[in-house]
Amino acid sequence: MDHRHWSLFLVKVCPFAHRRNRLWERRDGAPQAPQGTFASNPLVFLAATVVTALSAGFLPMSLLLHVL
Amino acid sequence: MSAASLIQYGVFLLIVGLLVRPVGGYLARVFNGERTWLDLALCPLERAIYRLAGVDPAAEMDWKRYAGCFVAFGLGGTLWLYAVLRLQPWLHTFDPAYRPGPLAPDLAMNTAISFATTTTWQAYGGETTMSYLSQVFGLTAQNFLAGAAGLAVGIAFIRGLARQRTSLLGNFWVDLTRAILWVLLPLAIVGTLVLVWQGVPLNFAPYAKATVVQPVQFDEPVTDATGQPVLDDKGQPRTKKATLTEQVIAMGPVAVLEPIKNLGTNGGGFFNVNGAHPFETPTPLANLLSMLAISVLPASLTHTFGRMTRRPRQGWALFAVMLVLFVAGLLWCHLAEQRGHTLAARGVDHAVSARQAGGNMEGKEVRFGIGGSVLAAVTTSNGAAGAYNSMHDSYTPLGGMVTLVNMLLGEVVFGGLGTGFYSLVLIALIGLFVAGLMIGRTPEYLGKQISIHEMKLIALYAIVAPLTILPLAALALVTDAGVAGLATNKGPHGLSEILVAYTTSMANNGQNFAGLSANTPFYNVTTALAMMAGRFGLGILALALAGRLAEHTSKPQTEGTLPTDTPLFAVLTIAVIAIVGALSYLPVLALGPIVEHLALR
Repeated sequence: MDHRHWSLFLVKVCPFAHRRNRLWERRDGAPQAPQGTFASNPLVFLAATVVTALSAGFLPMSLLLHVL
Repeated sequence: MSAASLIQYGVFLLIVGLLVRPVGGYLARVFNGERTWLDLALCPLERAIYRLAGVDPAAEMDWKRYAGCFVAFGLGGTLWLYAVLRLQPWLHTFDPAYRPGPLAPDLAMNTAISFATTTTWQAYGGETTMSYLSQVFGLTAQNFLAGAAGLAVGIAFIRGLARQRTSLLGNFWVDLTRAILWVLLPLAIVGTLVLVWQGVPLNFAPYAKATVVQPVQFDEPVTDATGQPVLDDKGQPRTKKATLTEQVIAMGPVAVLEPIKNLGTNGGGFFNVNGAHPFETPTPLANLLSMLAISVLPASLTHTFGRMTRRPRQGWALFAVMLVLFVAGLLWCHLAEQRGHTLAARGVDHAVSARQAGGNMEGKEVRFGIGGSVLAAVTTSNGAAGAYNSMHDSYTPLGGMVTLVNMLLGEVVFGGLGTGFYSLVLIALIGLFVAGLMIGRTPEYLGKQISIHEMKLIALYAIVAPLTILPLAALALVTDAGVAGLATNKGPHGLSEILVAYTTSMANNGQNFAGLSANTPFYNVTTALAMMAGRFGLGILALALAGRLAEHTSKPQTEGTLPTDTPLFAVLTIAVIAIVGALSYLPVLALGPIVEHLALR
């Protein structure tokens, strides 16, 4: 699959594979995985909100309501 | 009992106790349609959902329509999840690497019903069976929806007790939407962030491969071209020596599923070993927070009930019942596991020493110890969640019996989200009826007379569980298909494993005694039947009772009325819970865990 495919959006927006963000890097040399990464990657705030909201069942619920 | 365990139990109960009032009050405001601090952000979203779905939020429903929507929504959710699981190989575009095949029809049916009923009994291993898309848009979505539907029914039940001279219990779709938007979704987002902080992965990355520090030699089964094991002259599977040098580490959006798994009292884990996996519950703090997520909302419903009926003391009396039963189960289970003495006769060293904390640590994670494991086992078996972090099958017979008894009693201690509350009230009404017989007066609850029609519904509610669990367990014990599931244990423990399977299904709990090989058509079909009876059978009866009680007028209390907000009534309710449970299940418990305990001495 082409890495630019639309369906890989979540794969890209949630790069939280326990790696640091370049703009917000810890200054110490502590091991980064896994606990140390929380404050090192601000994208987690976006990922947690977007993915949790997407998974909250609104799609199946609205489809079901239309059927029922 | 170690100080660490005691502190952990104390802190847990203290936090639950402190949160009951504010959280219960918040739930009452949400479902009464009063102002909350989230209104500014969520009201436009709520209105948009109603507009899109064509729902009139002002139109209330009677109990029949409410129950109809509840059942139809559950069945619709089942079909949605079944389709996702069966079409899994063709819906793989979010998965960059790992692409499992479709689930077998019987397993997909069992899993779909299991998640639509908040049972989340898992006859599969998540990391080897489910794609990321199935985990997020199938299983996690169903965790939200089924959890919210249970909460909606619990709220409708409370309205039935609170209202007078009406047949209306609210609007199911409004309660469902508000349960997701105002309660579950905000808590889940915060929970996801907290778990990520604790080290739980949130990614859509391929499974990682790691080179092990110390290569391990093992016996690898030899298979033929069709994948079947090759047998030697003695009929045993043939093996060859192999060396493990590389390990696959499963990843995924684990932190998204974990909070709602507990908040919705669902309990089905992302990985096969559920909370025992270090990516699901990495630390003791994560474990404590998970247990709070299971307990706080159901416990707070007692205060919501007190607020909505304008009788706060009634709610506190029910909370006291929950607390006493919870502590009793916790202490019993802890003592059984910490002593572990039944296994000591077989040469197992359970003694506390400088080298070990002692107790039965088989099947328990060292990072949780006896305390964290027992707290999770008791919380999850009381709370209808089933999100275990230790293998309950490896508990001592009496320790494992606590988890079984908690489910057999109807999960009245905290219980399922919404469902646990009405289970406790129905048992309390039996206590009221027994007390009424003793003093020769017609029982009244909140000033409403419990007449013969209501008592019939309550009696029916009380016998649905034994009439489902015991015949299905008996069927499994007398058929080859049922006994075939006992791959690792026979005798009394085998009976316990089968009994737990049907009890957990009926109680919509989902924990298991994992020695039972349950992924067979027989168990997939029969456990699914028990799940539906537990969810819809009991839910419909509770709504029917609420509908009848809503029509009654609340009479003022007189000197002849038995007060239902006193310690005396709490004790009576506890006694009735114990007596009804013992009358129904003591014989089968005697043949299972009790005889196993005696045989091991």
